[in-house]
Amino acid sequence: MKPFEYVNPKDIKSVPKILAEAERALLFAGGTDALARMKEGIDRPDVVVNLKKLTDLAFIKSDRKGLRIGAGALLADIIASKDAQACPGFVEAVKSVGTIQLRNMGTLGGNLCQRPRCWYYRSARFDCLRKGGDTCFAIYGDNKYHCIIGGDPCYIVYPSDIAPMLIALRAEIEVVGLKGKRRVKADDFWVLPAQDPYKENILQNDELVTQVFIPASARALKSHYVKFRERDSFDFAMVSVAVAARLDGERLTDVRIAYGGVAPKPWRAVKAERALEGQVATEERVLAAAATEFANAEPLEQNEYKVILAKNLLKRALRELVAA
Amino acid sequence: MAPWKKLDEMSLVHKEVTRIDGALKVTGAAQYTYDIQRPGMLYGRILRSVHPHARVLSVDTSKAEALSGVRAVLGAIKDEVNFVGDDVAAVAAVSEEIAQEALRLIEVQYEVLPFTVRESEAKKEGAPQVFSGRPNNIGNHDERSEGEVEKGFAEADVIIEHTYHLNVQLHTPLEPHGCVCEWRGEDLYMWDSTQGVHSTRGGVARALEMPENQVHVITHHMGGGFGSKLSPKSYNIICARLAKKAGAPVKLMLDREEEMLAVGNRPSSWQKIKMGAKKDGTLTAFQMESFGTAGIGGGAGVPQPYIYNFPNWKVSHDDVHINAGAAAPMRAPGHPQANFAMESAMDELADKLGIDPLEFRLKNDANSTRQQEYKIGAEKFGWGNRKQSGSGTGLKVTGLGVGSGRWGGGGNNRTEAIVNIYPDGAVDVKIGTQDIGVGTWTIVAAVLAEELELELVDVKPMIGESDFPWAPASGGSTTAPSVTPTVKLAAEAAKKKLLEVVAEEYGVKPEEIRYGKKKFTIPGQGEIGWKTACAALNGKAISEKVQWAEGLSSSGTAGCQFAEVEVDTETGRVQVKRMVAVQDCGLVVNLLTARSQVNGGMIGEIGYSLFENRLLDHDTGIMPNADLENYKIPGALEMPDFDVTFYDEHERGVIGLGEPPAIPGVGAIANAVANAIGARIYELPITPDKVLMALAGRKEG
Repeated sequence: MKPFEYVNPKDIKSVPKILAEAERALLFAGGTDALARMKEGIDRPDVVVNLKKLTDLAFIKSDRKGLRIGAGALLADIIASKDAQACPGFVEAVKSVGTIQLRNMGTLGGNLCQRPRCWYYRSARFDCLRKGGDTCFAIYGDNKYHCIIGGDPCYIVYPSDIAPMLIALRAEIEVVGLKGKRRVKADDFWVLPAQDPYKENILQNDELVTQVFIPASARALKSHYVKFRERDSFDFAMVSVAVAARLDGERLTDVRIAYGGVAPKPWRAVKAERALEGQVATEERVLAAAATEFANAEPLEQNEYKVILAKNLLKRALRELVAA
Repeated sequence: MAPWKKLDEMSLVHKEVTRIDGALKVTGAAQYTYDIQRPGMLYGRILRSVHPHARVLSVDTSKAEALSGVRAVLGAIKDEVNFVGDDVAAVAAVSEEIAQEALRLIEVQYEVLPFTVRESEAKKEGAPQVFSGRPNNIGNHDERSEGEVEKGFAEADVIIEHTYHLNVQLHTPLEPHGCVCEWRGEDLYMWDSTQGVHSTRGGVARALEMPENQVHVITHHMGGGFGSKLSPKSYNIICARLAKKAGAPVKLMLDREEEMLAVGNRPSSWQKIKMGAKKDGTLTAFQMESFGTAGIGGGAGVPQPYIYNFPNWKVSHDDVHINAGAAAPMRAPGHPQANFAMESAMDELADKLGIDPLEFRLKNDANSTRQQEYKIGAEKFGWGNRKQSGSGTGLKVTGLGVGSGRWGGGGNNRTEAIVNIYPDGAVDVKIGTQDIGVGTWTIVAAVLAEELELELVDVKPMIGESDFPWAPASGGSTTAPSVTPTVKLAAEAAKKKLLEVVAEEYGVKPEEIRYGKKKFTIPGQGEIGWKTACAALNGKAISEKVQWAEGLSSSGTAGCQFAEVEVDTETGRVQVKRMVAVQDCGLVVNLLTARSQVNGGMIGEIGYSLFENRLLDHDTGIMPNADLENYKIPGALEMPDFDVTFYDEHERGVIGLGEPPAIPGVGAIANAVANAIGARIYELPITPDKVLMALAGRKEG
C-alpha cells in the first residue's frame, strides 16, 4: 500500500477544498469498499479524507416534507430507525445490503458512491477501460455477472441495492462542492459509461454526497425491493428490482420501477412503467411490460439468463407488492 | 496385543467427546501459524508472475533493496514461469506493507511465450505448448478395460451417451498456506500450516540440502488443508532462505489470491460416457473417454467405472496441461468427479428404463454394506416420496436424489508413538501426527486415557512436531487408523511396564495385580492409587516406543447420501433442504467429531455441486475470481438439515473418515436437481443461470 496523508476535516464545508487540492483523494466513511480498493492497489490515494468524525453527516430526520438521511448514517441505524419505516421498500433495500457486519460499518453515502464489483475492474492485474486502459475485458471474457443493457463501452453493473429504490421513490441526493450545495434527482445521479466510462455518477472531483431526501409523497406509495443473489449468505445482486406504486383497487398508478444488476447504472424501467401505469398487474401483463423494457437488451455470451431473471423478478416484485 | 474393548466398556472411545482444544480455539489462545510472533520477526512476500507463460530474462531488485525497511531480497527464483502467480522474486521487510511496496519496485523483464488455459483447446493439434516436448499438452495417458465392451452394448436394451463436465474446484482452507522460519545456529525452526510435519521436514531438508535433524517443523493448530498441504511448497523454501539472508525470523503467509493461484486445486474433468443396461435393469457395458486438467501438474484421472458392476468396460483418459497452477490432492482425489458423472448417468438410465433409481442401484451394487446403507438411508430420508422427474408445478419445485461412494482409509504400518508415565503419575504421548482441524488432539488423548483407564485431564497429548516419532501426513483418511492403534499399543506397553514395577515394589507377580480406574488391587495389601503406584518408578519414567500393528484398524469404506433440493423456478436458485448420510468407518473413535467430519464433507459437496468454479480468463490467463467474493463457497444460509448415521461395523477397527463423506452427495444433489426440474445440467456447478436456461429450454421443448 502506498503511504498516504490521513486528513480529519473540521466540518463538511472544508471537504471540497481538500478534495480539489489533493492530487488523488479518497473519501473514507465506513471503509468497507475503500479499504478493499486500497489493499488491492486499484486506488492509490495521496490523501484519505476521514468522514467518520463529521457527526452532522450522520442523521435520520423526518418531517412533513419527507425523510432526510445524512450520507454518514450507518445502514444498521437506518434499518433500526422508526422514521425510515414509513418507506418499507427503502428499509428492505437497506436490509439487503451485504451482511450484518457490512451494514454495521457501511454508510448510506458510501453505498451510493461505491465502485463497481466487476472482477476486471477490481483486479489490479487487468488494466481495464474503467481504470484508464483501452479494453473492457468483459466483452469477450467471463461476463456472467455483467450488464445486459446500457453497456457500451464498459459492461459493469452498478452494485448498490439502495440506488434503485431511491429512484423508485423519487428521492433526491444533496451534493456539496466548492460552488456550494446542489440537489440532484436520484434518477439523474448515476451515469452510463457512454457519458463517462471512468465514473459511475455525476460527482465532480471536489464534491461529496451529504444527504438523501425521500419526499413525503413516497409514504403514500407501496414499495418493495426484490434482490436475487446467487448465494444468500453474502452476495451482490445478480438482478434486483425496486418497485413503488399507488394501489387503486387492483390498479397500479404512479408506477416506478428501477433495476439493479442489469446495467452500469441503476436502470429505471421507463417502458415497463408506461406499460403498467393504470393497469392491473396480471402475470401476462407484467411479463409483457418487462419484455418491452428489455427488447433492446444485448446480453453477452454468458448472461442471457439475466433477461429471464429480470422479467421473473418484476413479476415477483409486483405480485408481492399487491399482496402486501 | 489386546483388542479394542467392548463398546459398552469404553468411556472415552466411541463416545461424544468435545474437543480438548475447543476452548483454546474459541478464546483465540490456540496459536495458528498466522498467530506466531517471534522477536525481530520480518514479513515475507513473493512477487508473482503476471504472465501465464514467459521466460524471465532479468530481475532487477536494486530499487526494492534500497527501500527503507527491506531486509532481504531474493531475485530470479525461476528461469521460466508457467502460470499467472508463479514465483518470480521475494522480499522480507519490517512490515507486510513495506514488503508489498517493495515488490512493486522489482523490475522484471519477461520474454512472453504462447500459452493456453482451456484444456479443450490445449489438447488440439497446434496448441501452444505448456512444456516443450509434450505435443497436444498430453501428460499422463491411461487406458483400462475388462470384458468386451462391444458385446456388452450389443446386449443392452437401453443405452445413454453424454458428456459430464466438472470445473476446477479450489481447496479454500480458511487458513492459507504459510510459515514462520527462524534459524537458531544451523538449525531451522519452521512453524508451518501443513498436513505433514514429517513430510515437510524431509522436503525442506532436501531442498535446502541440509541434514534432516536440523529441521524442526511445528504445527500445533491449523486451519484446514483438504489435501493441499501434504508436502512443502516453494513458499517454505523461499521463507527459509529469506530468514537466513536477513538473519531474522520471517513470517510468510500467502494471501487469498496466492492461495487460489499457486498452491493446489482439484482438477477439472470431462467424461464422455456411454452406458448400457438390459430391460430388467442389469448393467451390461460402460465406456468412457475422459480428459481433465491439473494445470502444470498431473492427476486428473477418475476411477471409472465407479461403484456399480459392469461386466464389460473400457476407459481412456488424458491429463491435459494448461498454464495454471498445479493441482494437489483434494479430499478423495478423482472420486467426486467419478461420482457426479456415474450417478447422473445411472439416473438417466433408470429414467429410460422406467426403474426407480434406488432400485436400480440396489440391483447393480455388489457391496453388502452399501446394500444395507441404502435401505437405512431410504427409510430415514423418505425416498418413497420421490416423484417423477419434472412433475412438480408452481414457483418452487422439489426433487430427491441419491449417490454413493467408496474409499480405503487404512493405517500406515510405520507409525510410531512414545507413551511416558512419570514417577509423579503424569502421563503423556508423543506422536508426530498433526491436527488439521478434525480433532486429532482429542482422539489421541481419548485413546490414551481409555487404555490407561484415566480421565482426559490426566493425560497430555503431544503432537504436531517433527521431533516426535514418525506419523504419516494427514491425507487419504489415514490419520485415525494410523494414530489410534499406535497410541493404544504404546499405552498398553507402558501399562504393562508399570504393572511390572509395581509388582516388584510390592513383592507380587504382575498378573496378580488388578488394575481398574486408577486403582491397583494388590493381593493381601489392599488398594493403592495411581500416584502411589507411579511413585514405585523411583525417579525414572517409563518410556515405551511402539510401532503400529495390524488388528485394530481396517481399510475400505462404503457410504451413500440422499439429498432433497428446492428449486426456485423464477430465479433458478437451488437450495439443498435436507441431506441424509449413511456411512461406515469401522469403530468410530469420537462420535461427535466424526459427525462433524461427515457434515463438513456434505458442505464441501454443496460447494462443489452448486457454487464453486475456478475461472481463467481466456485471453490473459488470469483468474478473475481469485477472492472469496467471487469464488463462492457456501455460507450458513446455504446449509440444509444434515442427518448422519454411522453404519455399525465396529468389529473392523478404526477406518479413516476424511474422504468418504465428501463423495456421494455431489451426484445426489445433481440428481435431485434433475428430478426437481425435469432437465439435466451436465456441468457443475449448477448455478441459477444454468437452471434458468434449462427451464427456458424445457418450456420451449
